[in-house]
Amino acid sequence: MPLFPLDKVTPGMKTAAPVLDSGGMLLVREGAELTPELIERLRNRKVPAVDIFLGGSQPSSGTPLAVTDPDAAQAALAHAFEKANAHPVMKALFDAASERIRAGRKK
Amino acid sequence: MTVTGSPGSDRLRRVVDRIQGLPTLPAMLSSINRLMVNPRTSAKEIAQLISSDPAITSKVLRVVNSSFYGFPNRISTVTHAIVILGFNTIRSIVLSTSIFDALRKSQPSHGFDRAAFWRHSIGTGACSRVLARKLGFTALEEFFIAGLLHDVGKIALDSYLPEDFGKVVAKVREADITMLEAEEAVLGVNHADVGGWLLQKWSLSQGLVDAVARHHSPALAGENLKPAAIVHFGDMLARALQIGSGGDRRMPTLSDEAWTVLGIGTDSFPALLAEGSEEADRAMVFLEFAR
Repeated sequence: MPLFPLDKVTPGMKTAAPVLDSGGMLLVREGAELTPELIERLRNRKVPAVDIFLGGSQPSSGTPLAVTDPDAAQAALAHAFEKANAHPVMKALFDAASERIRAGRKK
Repeated sequence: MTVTGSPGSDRLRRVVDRIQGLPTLPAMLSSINRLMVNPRTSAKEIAQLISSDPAITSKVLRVVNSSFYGFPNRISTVTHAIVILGFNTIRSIVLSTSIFDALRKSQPSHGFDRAAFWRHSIGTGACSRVLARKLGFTALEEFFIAGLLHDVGKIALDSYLPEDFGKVVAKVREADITMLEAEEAVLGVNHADVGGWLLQKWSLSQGLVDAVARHHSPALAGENLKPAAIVHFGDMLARALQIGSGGDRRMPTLSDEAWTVLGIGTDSFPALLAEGSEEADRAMVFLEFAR
């Protein structure tokens, strides 16, 4: 379930989690296919990013043990560590986790 | 950690005072604790107590026969399990399955993925256990439980203050920040404070309370700095392995005090991640108790 910035979201993608506005109001339900109108609506409500379902098992209710698609796993990892990597220990942890993904080992 | 003495205790009091109708843990747990402090207690006595509850007995046997412990031959009685695994391990299994049982009945709100949450919790328990083993601790189950329960405050907030917690979840999504940051901004307290309060209410050990309450601020854990540091970094390992999700997409801030007290090198990360991943796979037997 990688988080896609809204400007990277394209019509046809499916949400992996409900999209809520800042007040907690549901804007798009989990598993919905995004249309140009829906994306525009999210843009108007200033939603910065959306959880996108990349295939495999079912969204949310059947969340896999770990992200299994290597590209999605690497993207999610990079996003998670984006700020934390300023610390050398966290950078080393990021590098070790990235290497596991690259090596295609079982996560 | 006490509610009255901790930083921000007034804010914590205001939040937890609104949490009503919390589940209780089975009376069997205090009976086990009472028996265990008596050095003359035999395995048979504790086994008789556990065996008096068929539901708990079947859960204990399910866990001891899983790949988490990896015994080649089937263990068919609680007495046999105690002889092989020891009192502490069996008590930990009873405690963890009881907590799953108590919390799974609570109603989840919308927007918080409980399945992913429990996977992250089990992953953190497994990684904390691996770290504790590396640091030479022997009571490994205590660390598994501390990791398993590190985010239990989120479940309490999700179940008993769903409106407020819904705002936290929305803030995490909107601002792409950690749950901790969003909770502080929305509620003025965080899930670690609430989790510590809950475990204290359940009369669990001070080591467990501190490890949970201080898993984002180990430097404040006093004499339990090391257990809190282990859970703090166990959480980091589980996140790096992307096991489930605690509800956010960002790594929390590393505590330098925790890193120093752990005394490990960054060259140990590949092995820790490999062991943590394998241990988490085996520990997923606990997931069935969360359903």
